[in-house]
Amino acid sequence: MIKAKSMLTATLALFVVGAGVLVVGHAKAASKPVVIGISTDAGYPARGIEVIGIYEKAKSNPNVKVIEQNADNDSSKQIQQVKSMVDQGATAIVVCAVDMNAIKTALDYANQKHVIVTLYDRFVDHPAVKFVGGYDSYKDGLKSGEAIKGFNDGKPHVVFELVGNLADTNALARRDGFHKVIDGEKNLKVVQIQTDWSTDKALAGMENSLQKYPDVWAIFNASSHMDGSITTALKEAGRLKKRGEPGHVILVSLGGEPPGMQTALDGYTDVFMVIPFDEMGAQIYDAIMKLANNESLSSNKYYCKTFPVMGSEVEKRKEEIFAWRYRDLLNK
Amino acid sequence: MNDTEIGRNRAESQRHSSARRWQGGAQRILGAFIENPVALMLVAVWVMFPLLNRMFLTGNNIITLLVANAFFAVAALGETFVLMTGGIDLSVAQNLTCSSMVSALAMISYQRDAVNAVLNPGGKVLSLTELASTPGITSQMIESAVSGSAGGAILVGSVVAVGMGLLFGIINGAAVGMFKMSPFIVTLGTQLLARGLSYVLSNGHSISGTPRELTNMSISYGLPVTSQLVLPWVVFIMVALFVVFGLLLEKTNWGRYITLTGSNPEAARYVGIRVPLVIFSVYAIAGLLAGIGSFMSIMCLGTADPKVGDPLLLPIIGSVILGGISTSGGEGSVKKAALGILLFATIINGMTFLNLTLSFQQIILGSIIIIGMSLIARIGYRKG
Repeated sequence: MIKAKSMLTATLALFVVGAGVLVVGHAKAASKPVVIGISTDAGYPARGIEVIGIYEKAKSNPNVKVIEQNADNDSSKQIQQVKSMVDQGATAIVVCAVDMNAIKTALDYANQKHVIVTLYDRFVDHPAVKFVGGYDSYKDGLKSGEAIKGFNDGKPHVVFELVGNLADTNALARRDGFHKVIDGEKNLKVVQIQTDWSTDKALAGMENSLQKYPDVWAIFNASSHMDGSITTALKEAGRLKKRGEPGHVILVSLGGEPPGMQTALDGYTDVFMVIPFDEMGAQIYDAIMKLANNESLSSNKYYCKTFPVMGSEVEKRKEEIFAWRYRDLLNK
Repeated sequence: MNDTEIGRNRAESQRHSSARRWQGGAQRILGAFIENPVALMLVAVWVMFPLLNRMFLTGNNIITLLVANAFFAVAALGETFVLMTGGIDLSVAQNLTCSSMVSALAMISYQRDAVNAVLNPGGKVLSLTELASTPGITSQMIESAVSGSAGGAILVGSVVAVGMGLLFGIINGAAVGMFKMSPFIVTLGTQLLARGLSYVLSNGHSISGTPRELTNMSISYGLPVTSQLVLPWVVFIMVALFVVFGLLLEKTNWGRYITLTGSNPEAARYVGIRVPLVIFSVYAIAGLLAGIGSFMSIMCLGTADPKVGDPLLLPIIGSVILGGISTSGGEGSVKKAALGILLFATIINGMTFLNLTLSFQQIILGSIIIIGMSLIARIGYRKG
């Protein structure tokens, strides 16, 4: 009985100490008039880069407080998190939806409480949405197709296409844009490799496809976070050659994440299609501040402007690429 | 002894007896907390979170907490019965997902047919989008027909959800209870089956277009608390299920059979309990409750999400065990499970208010589970 009591006392003491520490910390953050609540679908590094502009801009404005929650791919948890942020007095919410239909109940809730609703990456058709930051994934796929087309010498070739998760609109749009161009190149045979955005599946898919098509000519990677899987599989098959070396496999990689950056710096990438994820946060922040001041927006959408970097220019232009600029943050 | 002294003695004695009563009451409360440390932890978090953020204790947030966890709690209620027999149901979360998919498709299909019957009688059945582009049919006519068919769709959807959930439960129950198969293997199999079916049915996308009236049962339809605040029906459904199944476990022979089967199946067999039937029934009940939970998930999310069950299984099992339901069976009650579920849900909700990162939330949640389980194990050991 005594032992049980002392354990209970210890538990209570733990809560009280924890509460004390958090109360002090919380009191310091009080009395901030503009609260921006960010709700992300998952916690991978690129998500942090997408909203980094919000934090950077908020740093220079003492009247702005940013709170962030990660839903860990749980749509129900995300609804609860968004509602909680609204209940905490958020002025605006910035949401990357786990599920584009399920989130609507939370957006309804925010709208009822007159909270400014903004989204990023995933577009949701909802009247409460005042601003969206995202990607023109179709155009990105189109540009990637054009990049491969630029190397086409008219001979019959095999092209591997690493496709993302088929439940993801960005993956579908990138695929469709790529095929819009590449399907017109009749000498090119495209072999699709389904990845679900998983590096493991990308590796397995590459290994299997290389068994059947060891003479692959070019690869389009729909997300450069999977570049490591490509180089590993090529190395295993004895096909990993740098640009300019005989037997080099042309690589067009879209995204700009650190594995893509490394592959490009190592000399294996021909065209690195960089999506400036880091631009988005600042655009969302500006939109929120305008809306909070009852100003109108010139546009309620912002698409990140993807730019190509030729493999030979990567070293020279690395400061333009977020994976390099935020390398300390991304490589933690 | 004069009257004054008698009066003084009487007052003294009353003071003593009241102090004794108070002391006795305090001891009883302390004793209850020692017997059930989860209750103490629950009190502690409900005191701590409002201190850290006064917005935690608002009506809005309490309703958010209850609504967001309603379907999770109902699925966990089903798991309670299985754990009490010493079994485990790993399929409960994916059963919920799959049943919600089938139910949503049934509701959408019912509404499409019902709208066609009104606006396009005798013709080829058209989708609502095709109907909208048909000459002479306006979007208002479609909306009115959709609204008119909502009641029927909800009825169909609820029956399908419960039926589908029950079907998975019956498969599990028959395999474990009747054919003596390992619950771990059987329910792992049905988990994969349900998950695969969900993806086949949905192609990985959430299914929207279920009646708006259904979603309103988790938002605006309910008991008005204030002019601004409504306690939605979905919360009443959850509470009613806990009351009904709590009574079934505590007040009926079936409930006693479950406890006895869990604590000593051999003894249960000797006293004439049909153990296979009892085991069959708990898996069937878990399936039934997962089916009800699936329908409630459509209410809460406004859609059938093929990923809804993915993060649910461990919290379901963890929260029930945290409440004091023994994994080896025979120990526990619906009240205890409810406390565990409420503690789990409160901590997750409260940590959102502290704006802790997901990693810290997981560390805290894990620590609380370990502390809670240690206390429960210690008390169990002390009891012998």
